[in-house]
Amino acid sequence: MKGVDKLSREELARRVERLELQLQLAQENTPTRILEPFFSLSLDLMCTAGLDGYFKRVNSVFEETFGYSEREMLSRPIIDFVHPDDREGTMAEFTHLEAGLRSVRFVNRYICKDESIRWIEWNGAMPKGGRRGIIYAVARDITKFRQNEEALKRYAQELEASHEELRSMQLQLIQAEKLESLGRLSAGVAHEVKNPLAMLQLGLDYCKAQLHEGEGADEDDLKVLETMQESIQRADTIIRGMLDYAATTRLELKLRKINPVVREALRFAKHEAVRNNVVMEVDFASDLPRVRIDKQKILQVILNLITNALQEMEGGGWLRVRTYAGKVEGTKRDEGARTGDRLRAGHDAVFVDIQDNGPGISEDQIGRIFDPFFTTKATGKGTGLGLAVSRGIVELHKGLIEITNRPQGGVRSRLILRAAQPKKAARVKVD
Amino acid sequence: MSEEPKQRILLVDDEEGFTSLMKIQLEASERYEVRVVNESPRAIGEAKDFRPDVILLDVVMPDMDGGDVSTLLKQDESLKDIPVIFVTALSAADYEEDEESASEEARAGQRIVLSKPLRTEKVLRVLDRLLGG
Repeated sequence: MKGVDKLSREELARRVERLELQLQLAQENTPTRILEPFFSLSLDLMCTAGLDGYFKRVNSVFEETFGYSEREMLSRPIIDFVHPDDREGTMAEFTHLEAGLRSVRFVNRYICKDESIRWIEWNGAMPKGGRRGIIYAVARDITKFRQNEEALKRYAQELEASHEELRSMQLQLIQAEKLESLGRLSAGVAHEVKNPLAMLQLGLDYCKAQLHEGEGADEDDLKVLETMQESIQRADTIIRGMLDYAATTRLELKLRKINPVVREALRFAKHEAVRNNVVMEVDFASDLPRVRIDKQKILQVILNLITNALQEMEGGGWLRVRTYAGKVEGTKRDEGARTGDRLRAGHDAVFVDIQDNGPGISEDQIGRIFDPFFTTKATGKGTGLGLAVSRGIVELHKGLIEITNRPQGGVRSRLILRAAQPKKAARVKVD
Repeated sequence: MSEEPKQRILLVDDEEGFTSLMKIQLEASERYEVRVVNESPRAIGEAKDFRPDVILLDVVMPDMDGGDVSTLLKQDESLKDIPVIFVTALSAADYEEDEESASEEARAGQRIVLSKPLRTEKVLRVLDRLLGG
């Protein structure tokens, strides 16, 4: 210690100065100091935050992005700046960070000073070498990217929708074409069969007249003639059904009110209702929007639905017919429901709802009721074309026809037609 | 019985089986005299010659269809007032229940249609209403 004692004050001061210089140099070369300029140069958001939920430092990009000054950013809890819907997620992410885990590409929304919303993507961590209790985070504003993504998604959906529409139009075209060729075939066959039937009928009439004139007709003779007569009628009924089916391809569309059409159908059905002891109740909504329909054809459909119900209720019952306006719900595709692709959920529509308390339709049959020549009626009583024709008609109207069993028993049939828009501007798509 | 003059029916149809049976049936009533035309282009000439009270006219025929025949009838001053009843295998539309209105419409010169097959008694009822009423 002698040497030390010998050191002059001057020398001592020199050595202290040198040590201070060394210390300063050492400090300036710490990683923190070296990285400091990046903090202010960064194009992205950079910050530190405490476990108390406040920012401790933010770079200038924060002000550029959110509009708040650094002081404002540091003076309020971070969660205050976060979109209410994202707060829970953000808190969870904090817990994640506190546990020493990294946060990778975490996304939340911030509310800016001008109240606009920005999407922010974060990487964050509480690194071992860093100051204790301090979270380091970098982030970038991905709002534009998000917006583009959303727009792209929307375009994709629109594209999908128009593609879907195109496809359903194509299906309809194919269906119409099928109907058309079946129609031509039916009309041709009908004509060729009806002529010989006509001759059979006249021949039969002749035989009857001869037998009666001779007074030689016994019971068997009459039975034979009667059976022949019924056969001709049966064949004729089927041919008429085919012609009907064939005639479904052409529509004469006009804007009409639905209630008078339903009323007319009920008038036609009245006779059968009285005979079967069925009480018919109606509930018509007033001020219904009009529908674009071929009146005769839609009348045929409604009458078909009503008479189908009546024929199943020979022991009496009730039939309720209701009309109303509403939005199309999600349509069922099961239980014999058929969807004519154009009318979709959300569209404004006019409903004709027919319910009965008859025996209903058995589960193994309900899926086939729209098939041509399928019938639940006794042999010779139905052609099996009624609902096939009705479906064809409704599909040409771009409407829906649904037939389901009511949970309480009986059948519910619904005819759904698109409500005509009072004044519909043509939808023009730009781009 | 009484010798009332029979009313005349011109039957135009290319189906010979149909026309011969129809003729037999209608004439069996002893109220009508029927002339048959199986080749439609001859229909106008026969109509002028026969002077029918009513024409039963098929629609689908070779050479000249029922529509053409009907048009020519309407264009002819001497024939235009003769009621025409279309009898066709083509249509499903028919005066099923309403024979009375069928006759009235025919009398008023409107187009009326009976669909094949059809029963003799029905044809007779329509004709009786049209001509006998």
